Amino acid sequence: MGSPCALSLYCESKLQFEDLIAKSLELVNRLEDTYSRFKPESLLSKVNSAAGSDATFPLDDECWQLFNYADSAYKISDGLFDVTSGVLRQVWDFKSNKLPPIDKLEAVVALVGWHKIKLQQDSFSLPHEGMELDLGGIVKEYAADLLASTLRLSGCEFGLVDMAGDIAVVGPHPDHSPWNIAISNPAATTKAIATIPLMSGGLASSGDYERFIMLDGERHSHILNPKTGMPVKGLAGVSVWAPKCVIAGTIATVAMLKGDLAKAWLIDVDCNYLAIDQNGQLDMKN
Amino acid sequence: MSSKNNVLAMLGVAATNLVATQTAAIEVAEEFQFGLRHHSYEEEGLPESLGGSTDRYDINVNQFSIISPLSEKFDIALTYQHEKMSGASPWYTIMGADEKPVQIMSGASIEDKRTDASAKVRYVLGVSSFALTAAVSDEDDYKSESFGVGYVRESVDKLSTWSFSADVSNDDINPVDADIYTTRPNTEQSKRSTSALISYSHILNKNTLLQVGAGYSKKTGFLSDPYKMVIANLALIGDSRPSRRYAKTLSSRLRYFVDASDSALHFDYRYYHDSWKIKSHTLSFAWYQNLPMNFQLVPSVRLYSQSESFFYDVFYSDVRADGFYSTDYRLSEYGATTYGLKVIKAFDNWSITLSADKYSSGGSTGFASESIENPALLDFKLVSLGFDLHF
Amino acid sequence: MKKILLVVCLGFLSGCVSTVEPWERGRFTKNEMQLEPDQMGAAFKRHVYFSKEASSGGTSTAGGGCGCN
Repeated sequence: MGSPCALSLYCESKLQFEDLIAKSLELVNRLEDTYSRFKPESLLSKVNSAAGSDATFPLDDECWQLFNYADSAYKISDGLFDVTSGVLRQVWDFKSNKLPPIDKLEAVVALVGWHKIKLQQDSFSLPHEGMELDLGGIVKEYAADLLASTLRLSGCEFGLVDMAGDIAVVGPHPDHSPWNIAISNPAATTKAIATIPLMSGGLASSGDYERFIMLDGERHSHILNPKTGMPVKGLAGVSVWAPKCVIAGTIATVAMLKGDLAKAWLIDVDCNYLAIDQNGQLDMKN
Repeated sequence: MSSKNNVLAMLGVAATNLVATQTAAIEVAEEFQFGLRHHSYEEEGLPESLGGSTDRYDINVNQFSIISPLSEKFDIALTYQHEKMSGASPWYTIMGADEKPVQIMSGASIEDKRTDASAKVRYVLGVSSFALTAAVSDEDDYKSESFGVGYVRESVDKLSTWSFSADVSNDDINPVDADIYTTRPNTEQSKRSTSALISYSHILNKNTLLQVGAGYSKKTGFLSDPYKMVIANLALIGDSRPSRRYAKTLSSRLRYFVDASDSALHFDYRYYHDSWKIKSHTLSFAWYQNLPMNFQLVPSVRLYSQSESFFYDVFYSDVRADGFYSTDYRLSEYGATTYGLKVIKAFDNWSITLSADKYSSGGSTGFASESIENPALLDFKLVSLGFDLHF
Repeated sequence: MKKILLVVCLGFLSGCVSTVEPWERGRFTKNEMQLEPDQMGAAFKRHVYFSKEASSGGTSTAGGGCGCN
């Protein structure tokens, strides 16, 4: 999935371990082959390249439920979590600390909008040429959940799935103590600023403490508001833990997009989180 | 829009549905399965009866079943069953001394065979499956052909399942020796039945599954027993029942897994009510205990009670205005208990099953409280040996 | 009796809002947790009870009749 992933499993035998690893690899490869926008043969690439044409695609149950999940995320965020917003990156050069030309920005913002898509399982398509789906904000987290679920159904009771920071618990340590998940310090990434004990469920983070863009002398994140196409000024980063990794990932992403309203929204949602603002201030609810 | 619990709840449902797409769904049979059962069924003789024989039926049954995948979307299930029965059967009652009815049994021992076969083809599409069933049953004096359809649909989160099925059966009855016994119809009689069943099952928690169901059936035509007779108004006449019978059932089945003892508990309940005014309650309980070396032990109890049909009597001292008469014990008020024990030993790709059941009935067993119980109430023993093979 | 049972069943169903996660459903794949673990045995017993008692149905459609008594 383009980033380091780790499995920590307690197994009864080497044979069981090898079997579980083989199953996990197969599962991750399948998801990548289907949903990666970087693989031209993936279903997602085919849908993207057929945008605006007459071609339609029948969706299997998994893909259909992924889109239904994307739809739920769109609705609960009042349109901020939008899997069609990937096209915005085309006009932004974050290293330049400059706004892109306004006409180019307007053109890509016009291509964003989950509500423009008709949700049909038997014949799915993107209505306008240039529209793009990017499931990166869902699939990696879902992969962590699915791996954890599959491992448990395969008889593995104790373990942790770490898909480049998207974490799903298979089960606690064999002595029933929790997994301690370290959240890194924005100033010194090798140091942990907090340790979150996880017995079950998943944890995901959003934000990038090292990278930001200066606009009018203010720090903005690299995260783009799908409605305006502009970077969001708000949290530097947030980690969320929830019953599933994919839920945690969505809430973390939406919190970043909420800008100044992030903390109020997180409190309103009533989830567990650790938020870091642009000044390095921590706010945690557990 | 995005108020508090809504966010977590909406994402929670969507996420569960998403992960559930990768759990086991309705699937066509992946393996070829072969099953064989031999049943030895033995009714206890009647202590007080008159006639040719006090021995009742002994039935030996061989049962076969094959389930096989046909393609990625289709599978087929075939069954074949052959029964050989011998013995005597209850004919009619007379009033004996002390106002005690006595059962008259059929004369010589009857020998009969029955063969039935069925085929069911199933088509699986995502969370749904469709099935077509055809079945025949053949005896010297009774032939039946039936056709059925079925539809099963799982919910998106795969926690619940709806099932619908319906069938129709056409039966032809040609009583033997109708030239000797004038109470038996001497022309072919027919019977038609239709039935429908709807059920819903739901996984309540990680240990419990509950199914509830409702069924309806309608039978029309010759519903009497051509071999049974009744003494009414001092004459021996044929068993005579209404030509329509509507029945309703409500049922529930509960499955509970006990982690501590590695066992599964089964509770089944059925309520039955029909237009002949028969009501019944059936309660079954079974305990599936897993044991070392792939043994499984299954003790079970079944409790049954029914009320009598509106025209039944153990002996008729008066003439009925509607002309319906039957002294058949099956239409009387009684209760019955079955105790069963089953042992299963599983090997790599086959298993062996041995079971024994003992059924005994009485006029005041369970909910029943019949002051004069039918003298033909049944007790039987059933011993079964079976093999199952899959590859 | 009928009404009480229905109420109990409905109460049971509506009381279960908490979801059972896919990975918590392993028990339901066990043979002994099926509604009918032994379909052949169950079918034969249904046939016996159908021909020896007044009641039938509940868990399957009626199927064909027989001359058995």
